[in-house]
Amino acid sequence: MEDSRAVADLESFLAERGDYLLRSAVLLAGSREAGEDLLQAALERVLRRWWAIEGNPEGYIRRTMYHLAADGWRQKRTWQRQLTLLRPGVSAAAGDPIAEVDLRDSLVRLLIQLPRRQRAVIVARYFEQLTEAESAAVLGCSVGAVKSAAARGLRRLRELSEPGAGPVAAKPTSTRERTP
Amino acid sequence: MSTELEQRLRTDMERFTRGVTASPGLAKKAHRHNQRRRAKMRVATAAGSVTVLAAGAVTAAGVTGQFGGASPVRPTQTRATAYVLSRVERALAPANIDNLISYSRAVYPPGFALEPVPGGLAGPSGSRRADSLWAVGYLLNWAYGSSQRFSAYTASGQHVFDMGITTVNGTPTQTAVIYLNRTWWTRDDSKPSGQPGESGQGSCAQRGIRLDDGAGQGWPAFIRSQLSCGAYAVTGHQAVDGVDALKISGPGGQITVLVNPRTYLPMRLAIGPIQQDFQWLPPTVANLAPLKVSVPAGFGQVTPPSRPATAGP
Repeated sequence: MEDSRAVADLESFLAERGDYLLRSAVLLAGSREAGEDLLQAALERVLRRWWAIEGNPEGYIRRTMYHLAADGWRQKRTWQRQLTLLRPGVSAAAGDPIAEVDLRDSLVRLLIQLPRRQRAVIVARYFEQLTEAESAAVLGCSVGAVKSAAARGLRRLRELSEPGAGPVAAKPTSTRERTP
Repeated sequence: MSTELEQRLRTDMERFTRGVTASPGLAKKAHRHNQRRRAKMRVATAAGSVTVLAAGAVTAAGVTGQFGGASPVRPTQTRATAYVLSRVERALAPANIDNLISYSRAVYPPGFALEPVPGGLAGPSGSRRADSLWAVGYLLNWAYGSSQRFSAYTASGQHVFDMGITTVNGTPTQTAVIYLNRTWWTRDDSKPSGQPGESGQGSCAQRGIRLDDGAGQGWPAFIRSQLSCGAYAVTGHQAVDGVDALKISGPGGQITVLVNPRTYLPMRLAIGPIQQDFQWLPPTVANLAPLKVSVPAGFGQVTPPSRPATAGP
């Protein structure tokens, strides 16, 4: 009974904020499919702790999603999907609206190449437009760490986007990344 | 200060996710996943339900076990897994394993029961569940090629049953000898037993441990396929009989395979509370002898039970 109420509450919350959370998840994970999986994984965790959540669950879901993404959640699978998305001449799955977006000059294509934590900071700061303090709270790290990860991420994106940076060769993120 | 790069980044991210909408029913789906996860945890801990898992635990080459479909574990050590995978490819080449006898001893928790049935082994059902006739404390298994033998004993060492599969005149034949009521039965194992269809071991741990017959199959193929797809991951080391074994964990961490780091052959398998220890023996006459099931004098032949196996050869 309690479960069904939690599901109903979460469903009505998602009707309002689900699209926005999914967009963030897609950017964090690198593709539509991986983003859906990421959001789904976060929702499962949130439901298991629903009794402990007071008020608006958005912050909790977002935090869970960012933590999963930054900790290399399903790293291998996500990575494989990114490869499919990024491989030259190979379009993404049919029916995926993202597949219809021309990514040749997109910084998003380069964003996927950043280490997971840097990518998470970039999405928090520049897509969600969270402040440095809010980003730090979501990611569970210090403001200084957010600042330095954002700076490093932007610097790397700048380098990658410069002409002559060579063909984009996506590679898996390291399992031994430094925290932002 | 907003730089041109930051602005472009924002625009690109907006463009990239434009049109992305969450489908309704996400919360229900998450709830269903959680329910399945909880059910699996219950299965792993409830002794009565461990029966089916046990049949999986006692598997060796050519034996099928069932295990609830769990989502793949997160590959925590991708590099280590890739390294192990390459070693498995080399160390478990068909020539290396296909000419070894797998001998194992599985130990079960109290209250555990197993019964030989057409097609393999099963946990007694209904009123038979409480029948002490089938109480099993440990099970020995020998496997070589397509031949198998299981010998079940109570915890105190009393012989419960023997069951063997061997090829007689080109026909696979299953024979069971029940010691506690001094009966035996035999059947043509090429006939369908009513056993539910299994997905192949190539599937990513959706149905649990499945070891197929044939050259290069069995444990090598199972470990290779599960590491490749990420269902199993290398999770550390553990000492087994003085050997620093490599620990490979399966779905939900409920299945653990400890492999010899030199040969990459399994040394120990743990499924929930059930533990199975392996030895790999050369096919000498003495080592092959236990594969044969013999019927002691004075035992009466009966018809095989009608119930199909929940797991077995």
